[in-house]
Amino acid sequence: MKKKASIALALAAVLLFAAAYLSIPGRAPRGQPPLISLSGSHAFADFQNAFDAATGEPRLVLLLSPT
Amino acid sequence: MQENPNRKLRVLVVWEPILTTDWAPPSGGTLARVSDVRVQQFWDRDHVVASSLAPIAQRLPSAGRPGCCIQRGFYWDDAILFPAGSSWSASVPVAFWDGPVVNALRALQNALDEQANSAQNPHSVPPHERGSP
Repeated sequence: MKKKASIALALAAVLLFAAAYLSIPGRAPRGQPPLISLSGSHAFADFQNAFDAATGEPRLVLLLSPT
Repeated sequence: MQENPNRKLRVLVVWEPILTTDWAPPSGGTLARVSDVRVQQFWDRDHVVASSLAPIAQRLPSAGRPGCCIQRGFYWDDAILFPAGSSWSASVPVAFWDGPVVNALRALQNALDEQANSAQNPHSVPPHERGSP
């Protein structure tokens, strides 16, 4: 019984660690600004600022799914 | 982008959770798929960008409306090109909008070429401002 509980606990710890690790955003490729997470009250403002910062050139917006 | 490394262009890549496997922000490997330095990448967990684009799609003429792709009520897998000189607003002009991205690449390339030509010939009327005959 104790062994089963230990295994379950270890498994839960591994899963928690994996979830925490995977929830960390990746690092943007070299030369690019860091990845911006759009959240909170200023979520869209962050995107709009980036959009408006390059009014002198065409802007291409790509909507993609990570997987 | 690799074919035109010197083209003036800003690319805003917005990753949003659409599929059931999209429960985490994009990994470094995912971000590395778009490695050009003209790119800025975003993680849009709450679909704020797609939601803001929806009314813009609604006001496009039927011929210019995206033929694809809406999933769970949000646009995704779409490429949207905005001409130079425009700031973000509900009436921002759209030069191109279509998806899925992999199928829209050729048409997108043509739209980018038209944008480049417009920049070289500023007195020509850009496609998004041309009226129908």
